[in-house]
Amino acid sequence: MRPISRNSKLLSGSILVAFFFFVAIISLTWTPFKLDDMSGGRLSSPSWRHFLGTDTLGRDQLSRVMIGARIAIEVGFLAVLIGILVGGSIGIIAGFARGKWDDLFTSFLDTLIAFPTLLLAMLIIAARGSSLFSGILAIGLGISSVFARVTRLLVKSVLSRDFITAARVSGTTWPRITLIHVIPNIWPTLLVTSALQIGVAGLAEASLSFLGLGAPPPNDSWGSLLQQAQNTVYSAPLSAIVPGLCLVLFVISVNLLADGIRFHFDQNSRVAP
Amino acid sequence: MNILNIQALRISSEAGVDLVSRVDLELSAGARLGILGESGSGKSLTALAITRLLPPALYSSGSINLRGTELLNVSEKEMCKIRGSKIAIVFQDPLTSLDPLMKIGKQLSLPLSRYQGVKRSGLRVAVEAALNEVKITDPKRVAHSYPHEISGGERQRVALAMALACQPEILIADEITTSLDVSIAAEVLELLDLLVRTRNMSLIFISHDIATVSQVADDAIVMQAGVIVERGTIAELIRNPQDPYTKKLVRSALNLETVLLNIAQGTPHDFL
Amino acid sequence: MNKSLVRYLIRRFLILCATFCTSLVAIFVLLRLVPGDPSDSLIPIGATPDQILAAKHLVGTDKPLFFQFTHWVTQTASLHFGNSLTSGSPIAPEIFARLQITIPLTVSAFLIALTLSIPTGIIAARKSSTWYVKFLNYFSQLGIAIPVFWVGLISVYLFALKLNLLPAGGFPATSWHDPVGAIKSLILPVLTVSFVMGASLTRYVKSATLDVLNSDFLRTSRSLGYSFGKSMWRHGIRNGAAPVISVLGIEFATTFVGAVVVETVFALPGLGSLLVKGIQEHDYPTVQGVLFVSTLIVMISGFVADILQKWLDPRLNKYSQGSVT
Repeated sequence: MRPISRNSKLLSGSILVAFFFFVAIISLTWTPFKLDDMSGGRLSSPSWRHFLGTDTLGRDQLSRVMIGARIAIEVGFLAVLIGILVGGSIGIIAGFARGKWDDLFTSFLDTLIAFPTLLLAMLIIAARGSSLFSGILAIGLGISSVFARVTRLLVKSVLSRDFITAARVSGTTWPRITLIHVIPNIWPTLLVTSALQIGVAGLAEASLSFLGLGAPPPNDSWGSLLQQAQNTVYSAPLSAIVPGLCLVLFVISVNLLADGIRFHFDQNSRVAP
Repeated sequence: MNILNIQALRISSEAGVDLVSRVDLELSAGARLGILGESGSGKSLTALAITRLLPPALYSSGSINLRGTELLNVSEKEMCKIRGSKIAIVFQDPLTSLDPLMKIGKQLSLPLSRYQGVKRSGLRVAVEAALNEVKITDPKRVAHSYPHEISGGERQRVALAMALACQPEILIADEITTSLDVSIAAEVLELLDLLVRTRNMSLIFISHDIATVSQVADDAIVMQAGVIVERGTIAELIRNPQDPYTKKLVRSALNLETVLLNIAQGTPHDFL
Repeated sequence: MNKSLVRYLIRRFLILCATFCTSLVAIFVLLRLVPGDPSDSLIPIGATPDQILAAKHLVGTDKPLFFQFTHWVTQTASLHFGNSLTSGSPIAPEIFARLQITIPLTVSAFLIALTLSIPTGIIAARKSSTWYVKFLNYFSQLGIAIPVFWVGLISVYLFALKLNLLPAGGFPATSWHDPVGAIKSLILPVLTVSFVMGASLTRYVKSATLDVLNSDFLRTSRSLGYSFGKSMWRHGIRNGAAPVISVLGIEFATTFVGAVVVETVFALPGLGSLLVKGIQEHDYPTVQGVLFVSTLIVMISGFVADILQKWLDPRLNKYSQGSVT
């Protein structure tokens, strides 16, 4: 496997994601201004005091953007966690299925994956009301279809390989095979998928918040910030540009990370020309 | 008289690494030349270089002379006229070498109409005739099938038929029996031998298996790591190999044959 | 149409119906998972039992759950959808009116994105390091990271507010009876959605083109004496189109969702704003109705894409829906 130092995508991706993580963790205990501090004056331009200016209520934008980073990381990682647990389990079961069950699972999963995550999330929000947890749950369930499909394909390809037959012949039970053979072979690809889905989850959360269905304040995500910036975009364009830029940068970072991970594990399968 | 004359052929990668170097070979009309070597020895690359179908990342230099025309210098347009009508290749994996979304009959009809001038109305008959020539049973079914719907042996025969439809002077067969079952491979080899004889073509047969090569070729060159390590007639190579690699090749092949023969004749032997 | 295609059609159609019924059940069940009753929003705090019962009767939740479900299914089958809890007026005409905005928006954005992505994807597949190839690659990488509503916001700022070229939002009150006004209102939203979807589709086209360029069958065609161009035309296009078509169903669904989101930015009275309003006001019949129609649209587009794919690629077995990686 290629040394990590040469894998530029992995490096840059990790550094950027780590940066967001860092900001998110800091925001838990400290932000330049508290959120109920509305002393900054309405929509002031960037200054040394308020690095990104203030919003319509006089709150510091930089602080709000930092909180947005925390929400992005929270939603991203937790939704993906749900996705792996729910989708991955379904996928593993589906991967072992044979015959009629197999066909059933395939059709079911294929149609499920075609159903847009956002619509599913909106459905769940409609049922549970909008809160941070609803959002995470909704998005998590939405992306579990992707994980289910990927896991199923991976499990099927691993199970078709000869060393599985060899393991069965030597008496290994299925649960043990799953643990020792299947999972070690599928986790790299699942890791790549997870990284990519963190970005997907982030974007989904932003869309939900933008529509007003996301986490209510004080958990304002970048999407919420953008929704509030809608009314002031002409007078204070920065309020509409910065959160969006952060979101784009966040997604690009996780995509770079995903590419880097994929590249890292792909090196052994490079065939000489 | 030589129709193909290759001198100092060199194939290198973008990074400057030589994949094939100092290859010289000659092919006369009606000759059958084998190119022996393991995977990575550069034998397939040599075949691709002759027809200028190397992947874009590789460069070739030297001289490839076909009846006076220097192939490495001609334009792509000129090369298109040479490919097929003068030199045709049959590749190793017919599953990927055939268009998966086109029926066999249609794929075969293309070179038939181009090179043999068969008109639209006569194509169906011509296709069936071509499939019959490569000894495909039930040509109607095969013509209406897609590549994935027919067997490996049938696919390889179809690929052969397509190359032959161009009526080339030189046929290059690149590991065409490697992915086939032994019995099917034997049939395809027999077929190849017959067709080359009846059509009076020159043959370059590439393989890693000396037993296979010895069935169709008269002379052979042995390649290892991109260079030719030995050349001669098949008889010379088998009876009197000079190069250590050739020796190893011959010895292993003979050992396998011996075990087989011993078992068949009931002679006791050691499994060594 | 050959026999296997017909059989595939029938099978996919049956699966479509089955999954559709499942989603109907899912929509119904999920919406009722929340504690409390849909009629809660109609009654004041401290209402008398009679008032509560009256509200329930109005909404229909005083009847057993199964009855409610069958009632909804029959209602939906006849495309009635009931009445909105907030406005009291029938939902179906409202949805129908709003579809006249969302559908044209989705379809035009999708078609534009598809048309643009084909040349850009093919160019992006070239190995050269000229500026436009690099630019196209960055564009497609960026496009999948960018939220569609942000593009909308920025374009409103640029084209509508700063440059004053196009309306910042809204839709003519007379809808399509004012075709010029309607189209003007849709230009920015359509461009916004097609920008993001175009980037996504470009990646697929590029990947398909690369696969074809490196394929063995292309090499075979050239080895028979056909030029590179002719080989690409004869074999490359069809084989390159196959993987792209396999994702068209999902991409269309994504375009639809993008259109739904973008309506908020441009204040378009489409399906999206109705859905959001319905969710915020706990107007369950409306939410159910909109989700039903959305599901229908998504599933039909998936079905059509399936048929297209099977028609093109005979290799698919009877169950699979193509490959999406």
